[in-house]
Amino acid sequence: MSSPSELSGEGLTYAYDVRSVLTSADIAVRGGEAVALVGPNGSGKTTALRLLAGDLQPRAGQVHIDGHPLESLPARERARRIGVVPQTIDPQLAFSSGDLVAMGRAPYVGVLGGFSARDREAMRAALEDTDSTQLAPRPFRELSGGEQQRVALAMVLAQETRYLLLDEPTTHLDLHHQHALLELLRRLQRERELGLLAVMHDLNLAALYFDRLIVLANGRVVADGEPRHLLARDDVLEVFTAPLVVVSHPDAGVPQVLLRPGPNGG
Amino acid sequence: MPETMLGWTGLPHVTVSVVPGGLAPVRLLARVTLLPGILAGSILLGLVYGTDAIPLREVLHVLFPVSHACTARPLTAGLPNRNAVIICDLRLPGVIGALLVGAGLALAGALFQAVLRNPLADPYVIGTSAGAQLGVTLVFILPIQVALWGFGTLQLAAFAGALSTVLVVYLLARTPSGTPVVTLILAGFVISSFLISATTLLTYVGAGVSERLSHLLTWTLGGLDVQSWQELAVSAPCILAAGCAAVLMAPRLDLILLGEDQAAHLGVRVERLKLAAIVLASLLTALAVTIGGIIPFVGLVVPHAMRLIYGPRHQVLLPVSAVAGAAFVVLCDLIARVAVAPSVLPLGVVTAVVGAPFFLHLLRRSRRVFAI
Repeated sequence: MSSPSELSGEGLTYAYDVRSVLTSADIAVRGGEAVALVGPNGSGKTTALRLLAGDLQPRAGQVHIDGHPLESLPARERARRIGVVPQTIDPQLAFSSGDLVAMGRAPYVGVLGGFSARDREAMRAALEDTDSTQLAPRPFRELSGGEQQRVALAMVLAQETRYLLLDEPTTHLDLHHQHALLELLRRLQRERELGLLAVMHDLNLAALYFDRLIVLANGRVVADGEPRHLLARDDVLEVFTAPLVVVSHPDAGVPQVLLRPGPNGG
Repeated sequence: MPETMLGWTGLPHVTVSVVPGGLAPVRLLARVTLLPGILAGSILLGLVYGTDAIPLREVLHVLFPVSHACTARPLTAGLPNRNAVIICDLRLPGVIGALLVGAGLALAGALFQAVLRNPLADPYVIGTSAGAQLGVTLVFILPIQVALWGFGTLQLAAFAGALSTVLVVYLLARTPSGTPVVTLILAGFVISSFLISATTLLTYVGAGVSERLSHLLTWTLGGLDVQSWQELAVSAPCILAAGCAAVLMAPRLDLILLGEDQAAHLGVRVERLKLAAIVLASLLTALAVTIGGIIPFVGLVVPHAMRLIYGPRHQVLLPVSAVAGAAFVVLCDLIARVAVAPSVLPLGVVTAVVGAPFFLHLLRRSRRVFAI
């Protein structure tokens, strides 16, 4: 059942043409909670995220936001509640980074686009929180990949939504940038009490940085709970169809999953 | 090094432009008055030069009959009459026509480039102009007369032709991630060639039917052949209104450059916006085509040049493109009238000479940027 303070999909079902990718999946994130969608390739993680973002319409099931059916909310009202961090923004955009962050206020400003004091404050805070104030004057296309990602995040923070959705934010990042981004996301999530829902490819990062995991396999939710409980279950590890061994992280104490090498490795 | 200033967002902002947007009032004045100044200059040049040059003070005298003080001495009564007639009845309608064509096509180009997210979208390249032309040709040949909300038959037919063409080309070329640069050009090329052939065929068939054929032929070649103020009386307010409507869309056009999904995440009703922008751009194209026929590349050259100078924000880009487009076509029209005087070149020839190399340059560049 949908509660007044959560983004939830109940019984979500979706198919591309005849190929079913998601079958009666229940996925929910509450404000102030960080949830990772994990599962093997093709398990329906990204489809689930796109259904919750309103990019796709479910064949069956219903997305609720704070108790309202998603499609009952006007587009701007929806954009004031759900922010989606873009996976890629055209890296050639000639807009300044400040222009992009200002676009995050689009759900609040009128047709002619004048900014109120509150809009400016939201933009300033978003830039400050992502440590990109000094990037604002610079053209977006002249920034490094990591800087562009921070500016994209600042744009969505300026939107001041309660829920933040991300699709594989750490893919293609090196260790330094993985660490920087996840620390930043986690800090923002706590400070702003965001409901964070991210598709995560890397099970270990998901276990380190998220309160709860939702494990998908073949378009179905097979498990939903805290990392330390889920990763102790054989039936959860089996969905990844690889020989795995689980150890405890020496600092954090959360489970970490390692591959067990075959006769040719190690 | 670009200057830092407080930009429109209130955040520190660097203008990415060759016209420095500094705080100095002189610079600000220069930035604001530059384009209108160029436009005013182009208009005066267009009125002064033609088959015969008319002295500037006579032009000013005709334009501003009360401002005798501006001209050095009072004009004698008899002499300027002929020139006054030339200015009022020939050159001025022509110049105003050129101005409207330029503003309309430049705005249409900027709109198409934004909603199709394709730097090469231009009313000529994607076949919209050819569709409008076919619509107008049909009206010349078939005995139909309709009027709607002050629109004439010509404008309505051109609009119907332009809109249906752009929708067909768009549906042929679209993919979930925008319209690929080359696919759009190919679809536009094929549809455009077909429509131009159809127009030519109709012109031949209609040769016996219509006594207005010579006018049609001049017009088909992209000749600005404004014969009455009445033609402009419909188009001018419509182009102005469409321009204002486009500016109201400007912030949402910026958002659509982030991608359609992200624009939707920011509260834009994407399909509605795309349809509105396409209808508006088709209307602008149609109005321009009813005045001047097919004028290639204006919608491509002008918005791109303005993006380089004023940056990508549509609230600035759309108005400056309209003004710059107007000046560009007035000047091209002047070249068309004086280059081989007393003969007159078709206007489309002049814009094509300027625009084609520019198009090729953009095509080469977009092959690097938008890898296919």
